[in-house]
Amino acid sequence: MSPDTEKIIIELVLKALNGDMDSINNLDDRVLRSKAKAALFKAKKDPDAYREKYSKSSIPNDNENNFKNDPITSYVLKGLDGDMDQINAIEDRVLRGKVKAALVKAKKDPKSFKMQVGLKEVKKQTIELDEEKVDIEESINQRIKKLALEKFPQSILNDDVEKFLLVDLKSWSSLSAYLKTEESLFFDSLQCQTGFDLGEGLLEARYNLHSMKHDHYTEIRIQVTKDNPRIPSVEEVWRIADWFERETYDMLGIHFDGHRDMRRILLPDDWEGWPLRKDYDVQETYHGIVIPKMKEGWE
Amino acid sequence: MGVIRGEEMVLNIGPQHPATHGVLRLQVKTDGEIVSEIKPYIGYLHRCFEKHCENVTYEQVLPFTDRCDYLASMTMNFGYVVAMEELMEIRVNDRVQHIRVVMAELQRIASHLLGLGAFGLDIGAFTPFLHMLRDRERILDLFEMTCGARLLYNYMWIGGLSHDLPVGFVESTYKFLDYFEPKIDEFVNLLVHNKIFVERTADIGVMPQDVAISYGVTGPNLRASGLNWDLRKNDPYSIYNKFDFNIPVGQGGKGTVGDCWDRFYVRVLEMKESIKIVRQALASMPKDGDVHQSLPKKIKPPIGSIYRRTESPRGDLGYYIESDGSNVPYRLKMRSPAFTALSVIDEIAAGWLLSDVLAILGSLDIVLGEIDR
Amino acid sequence: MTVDFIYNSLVAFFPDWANKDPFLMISMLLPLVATFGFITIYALVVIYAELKVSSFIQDKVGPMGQGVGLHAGKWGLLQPIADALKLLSKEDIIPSSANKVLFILAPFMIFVGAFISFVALPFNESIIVSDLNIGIFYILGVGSLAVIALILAGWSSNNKWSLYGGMRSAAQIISYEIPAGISLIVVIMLAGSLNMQEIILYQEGGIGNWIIFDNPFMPIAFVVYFISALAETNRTPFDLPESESELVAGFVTEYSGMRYAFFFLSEYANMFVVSVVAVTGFLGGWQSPFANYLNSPAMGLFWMLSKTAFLIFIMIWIRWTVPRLRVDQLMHLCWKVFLPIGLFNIFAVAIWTVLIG
Repeated sequence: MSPDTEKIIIELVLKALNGDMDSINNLDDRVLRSKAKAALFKAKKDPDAYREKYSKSSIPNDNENNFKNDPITSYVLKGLDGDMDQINAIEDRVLRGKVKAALVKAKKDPKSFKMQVGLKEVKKQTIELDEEKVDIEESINQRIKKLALEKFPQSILNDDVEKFLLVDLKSWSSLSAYLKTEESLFFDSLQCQTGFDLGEGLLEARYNLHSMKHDHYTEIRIQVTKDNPRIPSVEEVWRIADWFERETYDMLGIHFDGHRDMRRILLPDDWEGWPLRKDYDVQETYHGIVIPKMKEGWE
Repeated sequence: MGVIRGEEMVLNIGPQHPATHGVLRLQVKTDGEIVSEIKPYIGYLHRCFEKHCENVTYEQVLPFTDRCDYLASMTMNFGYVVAMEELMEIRVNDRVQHIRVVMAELQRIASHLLGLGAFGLDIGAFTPFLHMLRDRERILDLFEMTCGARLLYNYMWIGGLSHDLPVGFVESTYKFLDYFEPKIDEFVNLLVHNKIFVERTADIGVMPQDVAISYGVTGPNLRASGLNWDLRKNDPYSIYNKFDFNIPVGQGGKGTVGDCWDRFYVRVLEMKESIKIVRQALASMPKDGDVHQSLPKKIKPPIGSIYRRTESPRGDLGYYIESDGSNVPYRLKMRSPAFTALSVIDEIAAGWLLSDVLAILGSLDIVLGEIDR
Repeated sequence: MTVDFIYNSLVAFFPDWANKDPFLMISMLLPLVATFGFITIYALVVIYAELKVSSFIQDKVGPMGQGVGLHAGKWGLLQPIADALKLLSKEDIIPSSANKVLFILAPFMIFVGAFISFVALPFNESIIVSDLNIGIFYILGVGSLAVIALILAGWSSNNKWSLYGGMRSAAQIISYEIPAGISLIVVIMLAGSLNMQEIILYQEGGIGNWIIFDNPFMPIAFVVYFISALAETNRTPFDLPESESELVAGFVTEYSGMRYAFFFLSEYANMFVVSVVAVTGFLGGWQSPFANYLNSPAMGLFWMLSKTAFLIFIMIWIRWTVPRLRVDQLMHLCWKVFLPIGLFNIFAVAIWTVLIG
C-alpha cells in the first residue's frame, strides 16, 4: 500500500471521527472505502488516542528527518541541485570521497537517482506502517476467528486470516449454524459456493458469506482429500446450499453428508466422472454416442 | 390392467413447452388441479462454460460470458470486467465508465421489457408482449449502431471497450428515451391495473423476506419482498454512486408484499429509474477520452482470488475468479442470479393451482442459459 | 330458403313426379349444402379478419403480399386459403396408444354440433333453412353436443395435457350454458314465442323497438349473454382449455391436419351461431334500424350479416386485449356472479313489464 493511500485513509478517518461520514461514503474506489471503514471501526474504540497519534502530520514527509539516516544521499541531492559548498565543507575525508563518487554517478542520471531515493523512503515508511495496517484491516475475520475458537476449539486452521478462514472439517456443521445465528455476525446469506481442485490430491470448497444486517463479508475454505471427499452439508442453514452443493458434487465429486437429495444437477444422472477436476478424462461414449475429445489450444 | 392410482398425477412441464423460458423440465405432482410438489430438472443447456474458461485466456472468456445470459449480455460482460479490473487493479478513465453505465442501463430496460412481455404472454395477454418487443427493437438498434451486434455484444473489454460511441448515438438515445417514457405509462394502463391480470397475480406465490434471503434470491425478486437491497447503492461499483436514482421496493400494492404482482411492478418501476440514470450519464459524459487507453498489453493477473458481484437485471451476478499468475484462469465460477431464483420455486409454488405455477415461474424471470451455463 | 319453398317449387316445375321421395330429399339436401358452403366461405373471411384485426391491435401489419402467387396475395387475402391448403396436406397422425374410434369421432361430433345449429338461423324473412317453432330452444339444446365431443377429444388422446384441457372445457361449457339460457328467457318472455322469426318480427319498427332498449335491465341481460357466449365458444378470456402457454395446446394437442382444422372451424361456426342468436334476441335481427327505409329483403340480409359481423369483431377485439381467467375464477364468475344477476333480471323484467308495460 502506498503512503498516499495511508495518508488519505488517516485524513478520512479523522474527518469521520469529527462526524463527517460523507467523504468516506462518496469514495468510488471500493477497496479504499472498505479499508477506511475498517480503520474507522478500530479508531472509534479510542478516538482520542487516534487523534493524538495522527493529527500532527499524517506521515512524516519532510526530507530532513529522513535524511538524518542517510547523509550521503542528502549531500548528493544537494550537489545535484548545485550546492557544492556543503559537500566541500565535509571534514571527514572518507565521507567526502564517498559523497563525491556518488555524486558523479548520480549526475549521469539524476532523475532515476531521485526516484530511487524516493522509493527507499517509501519502503521504510511502508514497513513501519505495515504493522499498523495489518492491525486495522483484520477486524471481521479476526473477530470470527476469536469467537469461533472460543466456542469450537481448533476449528480455524489458518493463522493469517486476512483473506479467508480455513475451517476444520469436523466443526463445520456446528460452526456454520453458529455463524448464522450469532447476533454480532449474523451471516444470513450464502453468496456463492465454489469447488476447487487444488492439485496434489486436494479438493476444496469455498463459501462466500455475507450478512445483510451488518453488511460484512467473509470467505470460508474447507479442504478435503480426493480419496475421501466428504463435507458436512449446510443446506439446513442456508437453503440455497441445496443446489450449490449439488452442483459442486456434480462437477467435482465432493460428497456432502446430510444432503437430502445428493444427485447430479447439470449433467445427466448416469454420467461418469467429475468434470472440473484437473485430471478429468471424458468418457468414450454415452448411450452409444461417441464423445469427441477436446482439442488442445485452438487448432 | 394394473391398479389405476387416483390420488396423484405426475405431470412433466417441458422440456419442450411454450411457457418455460428455455429448456426446463418441471416435474409436477398434482392432485386434480392443485400442485403438491415441484421438482425442477435443469442441465439441458449446459455448455461447460467453466471448463472452457480454464483453457482459454482471460480475454477469450468474454464472449463466453455473453452467451450465458443471452438476454442481458452487456451486464454479464460488465460483471466480469469489473471483477477482473479489481483483481488487476486497473483504473479506466471516466468516459469508459460513463459509456459502460449507459450500456448496462439500456440493457436492463431491454431485458425487463422481454421478461415482462413474456410474463404477460404466460398469463394470456398477447398484445403487450408485441408492444414491448417493438420497443426493445429500438434498443437493439442502438446497440447495433455501437458494436454491430444485436444480442451478443462482447463489448466491454478488460480495461476499456471494444468500440467508442458512434457519431449520433447520443442524439438517438435521447430520442429513444423521449419516445419510450410515455410507453411505460401506456403499458401500465393496459396491463398492470387490469382486473383480470390483478386477479391472476395478486396474492399468488408470496415469498417472505427470510425465505428469499435464505434461498439467495436477489435483484427485483428480493426487492419485491420488501427489502431495500440493490448492489448499485449498497455496494457500488463503477460510477453508480454519482447518479441519483431510487430503488423501487415492493409494497403489496394489490395484495400481499412479495407476490407476483409486486415482482412485476417492481420491474416496471425499475425501467423508469434506468431511464433516469441513462439521462444523467449522457448529460455528464466527458467528450474526450480514449476507450482503448487502459487496455493492458498482457492480461496476467497476480496470484490470488476475487469474488465480485454486480447487479444484473435478474439479481446479483457474481464472478469468483482464481488466478495462478498465468494468462489462463485457474478457476472461474459464475454465480448466476437465475439459478437461485429457480431453486425457490418448490417453496413458493407448492399448494397452488397449475396455472399459478406457470404464473409464478414467469414472474421470477429466469433465463436457462444463465442457470445451466 | 326453407325446405318447404324448395319442395313446392320443385313440385310446381315437375308436376308429373310430385310427392316422390327424391323431391323431399333434394329439398332437404340443397339447403344443407348451401349452408356448408356458407360456413366455408365465412370461415375464410373470419380467419382473415382475425389475422388482420389482431395485427393492427398488436402494431404489426399481418400477412401482406404483392399479388397472386407472391407471398399471400394482395394484402394477404389469400392467406386463409393457404392455411386451409396447408392443413389439408398435413400428415394425419393418430397416436398409437390413443383410442382410435373416439379419437376420430370427436372432431366430427363437434362440427356436427355447430353445423346443425345453422339450420335454425334466420338470415332474412325468407332465407331460413327450417323455421322451427322452438328455434331458440333448439339452438341452445344442440349446442351442448360440443361438450361430449370435447371430453371425447381430451380422453381419447391418451395425453395428460389433453385430459386437463378436456375436463376444464367440459366444466366450462356446461356451467356457462345456464346464464346464457337464463338471459334468453327474458327475451322469450317479452316476445312471447320461441320462434326466431317471431322474435324478430316483434322488434319491427326501427331501433327504438329493439328488445335491448326495451327496459333498463335488458342491456344487462345482453352483456351476460354475450360473455357467457364467449365462454361457450372457448374464446379468450375463457380459452383455458386450449390455452397455448399453459397446456401446450390443450385438448387439441394430439390432433394434426384436417382434424385440427375441424376443431377450429367449429369454433368459428359457434361464434357465428352465438352472434346470430344475440342479434336475433336483442338487436332486431334482419330488421333495419330505420323504421320503413331500407327494409327490402336484400337489405334484410345485409343488416343481419353486418350486425353479426360487428359482434364477431368485438369478440376478436376482446381476445387480443384481455388476459385469461384461471379455472376457479371462471367458475366463480359463472355461478356466483352471472347466475344471480340472470335470475334477478327475470324478476326485474317481469315486474317492469307488468307495471310499466
